[in-house]
Amino acid sequence: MITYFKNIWDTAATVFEGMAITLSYMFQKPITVQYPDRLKEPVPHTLPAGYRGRLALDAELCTACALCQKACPIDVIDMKGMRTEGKKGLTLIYFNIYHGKCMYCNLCVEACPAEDEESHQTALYFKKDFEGVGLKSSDLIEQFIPQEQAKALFKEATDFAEKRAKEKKQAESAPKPDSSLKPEGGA
Amino acid sequence: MNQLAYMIILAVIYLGVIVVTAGVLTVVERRIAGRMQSRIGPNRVGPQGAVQWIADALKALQKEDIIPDQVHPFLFKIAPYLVFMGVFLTLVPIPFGAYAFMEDLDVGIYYVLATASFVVIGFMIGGWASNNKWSLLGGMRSAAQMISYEIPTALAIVVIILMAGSLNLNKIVQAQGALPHEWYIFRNPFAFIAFFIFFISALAEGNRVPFDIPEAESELVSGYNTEYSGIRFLLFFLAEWANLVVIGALVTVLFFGGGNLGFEYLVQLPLPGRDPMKIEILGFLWFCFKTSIFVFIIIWLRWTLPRVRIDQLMDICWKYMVPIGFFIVMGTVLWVYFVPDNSQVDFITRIVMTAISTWILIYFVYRVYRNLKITKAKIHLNPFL
Repeated sequence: MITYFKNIWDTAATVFEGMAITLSYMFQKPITVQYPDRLKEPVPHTLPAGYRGRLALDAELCTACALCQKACPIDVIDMKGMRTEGKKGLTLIYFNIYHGKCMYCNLCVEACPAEDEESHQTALYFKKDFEGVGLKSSDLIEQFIPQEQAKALFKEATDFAEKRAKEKKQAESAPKPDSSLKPEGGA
Repeated sequence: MNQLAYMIILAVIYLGVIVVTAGVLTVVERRIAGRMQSRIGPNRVGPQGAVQWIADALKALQKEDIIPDQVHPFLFKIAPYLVFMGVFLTLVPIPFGAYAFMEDLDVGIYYVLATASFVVIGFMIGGWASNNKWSLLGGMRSAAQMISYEIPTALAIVVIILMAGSLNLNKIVQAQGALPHEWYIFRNPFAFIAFFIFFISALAEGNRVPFDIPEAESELVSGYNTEYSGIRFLLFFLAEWANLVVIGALVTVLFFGGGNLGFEYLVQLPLPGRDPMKIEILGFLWFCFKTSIFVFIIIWLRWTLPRVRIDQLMDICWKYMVPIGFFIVMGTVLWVYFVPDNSQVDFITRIVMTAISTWILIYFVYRVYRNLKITKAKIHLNPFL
């Protein structure tokens, strides 16, 4: 008989307490993160410092030294630097990245010597962009110098090379200045 | 003819209102469930997920209406309608305000008990006609459960009938007042117990957690409605959620004074704007408020309690609810006989019962506050996320 009433009391008391607990949960802040559109700040801002998203190039900074191309173990980077008229050093003719191949190893970025003076951002860097899905396989090939521009630049560079070759030939075929006029060396 | 047109229009209005209410309740339930589980719930379709239920309904409507080969076609088709009809018909005599009811039936509460039985028939037919062992088990369980729990429901209602001296729901509401100590639940200790018995057995009859074994998803592959798809499946759910409103409304009417604002007194008082129409609307809102509180409690219980086993279910009914039900009926008979209305003992009992209930409520709020404090979580009251 005592168990009978104790059972009733236990039921009432436990349901009472259980409902108090669930109600208290209703007043707490949900832990759900409403990814990806209802966030306090955009997702790229919340990513950690060393996050490697898509590989990207700052064409202004690039010196076309091709160190990245050499560093890459799987030929993700296809680029060419040539000399053009009126510019010191090499000019970037084209710079293509095959994102489909990239394994995000960071070797190219480590090799990159060009760096922005203020932000210390290298010319080749990983974006905080993580949505790398493409609908076509060609979406995974990124050309940092547009094709038309690259063609024009290539023509300019080849013209300049021909011109220089011609100049060199002329310089070679031109009579050499007399060696005796040279200042005395260590000879 | 005129009468018929009037009735059809009224029925269509009721149908529209109850379907929309049931639909909105699905979203409300999911939002509440989300917050109780530290989630958010559906909040994408429309402002704060407000039209999620339309999206769900449209999705179900687009599905193919599959009628499997081996089922009994006629019974299989008719079962969802029987279930929905059983729930829908119970709305007829419920007074939503002093004059807002479909029909002032003198057998009101008796009629509600009778029509609610259609639901059992619907579940049984649905389970049997499906020609599927799980469905049949679900249907059988549901029949056993609902027929068992009709007894404590009826006994708790008998308590109210004894106190009101009428089966008419309107008269039951009018016999109660606007203030808590005039409600039937606080009239005497037996009615207080009767409320809990009625509420628990109404949950069991409505197949709500913790008594949802007819459609126990994790055991029975959703029971009697396993073979249903599309709009027929939806009708079962529509009936379930409409039943929430019916349970809430019945509890309000029987134990908590319905939409009674003390209409007769209010009209006579020299208040500004004592328009009977305004008071009627206020009474309707008051009724809706009370009903929604009980609907919330039912939803809240669902996300608190685990499902009971079939033997526990039968134990609760036959070993606890039925004996206690008979006890409170006897107690009420004696109380009504020996303690006349508006006597000193009656008045003191009402006040004491109200005070005890208020104390329980305050203690409950304290327990919630303490639980919040223990977890040291941030309080977040804004429901819009």
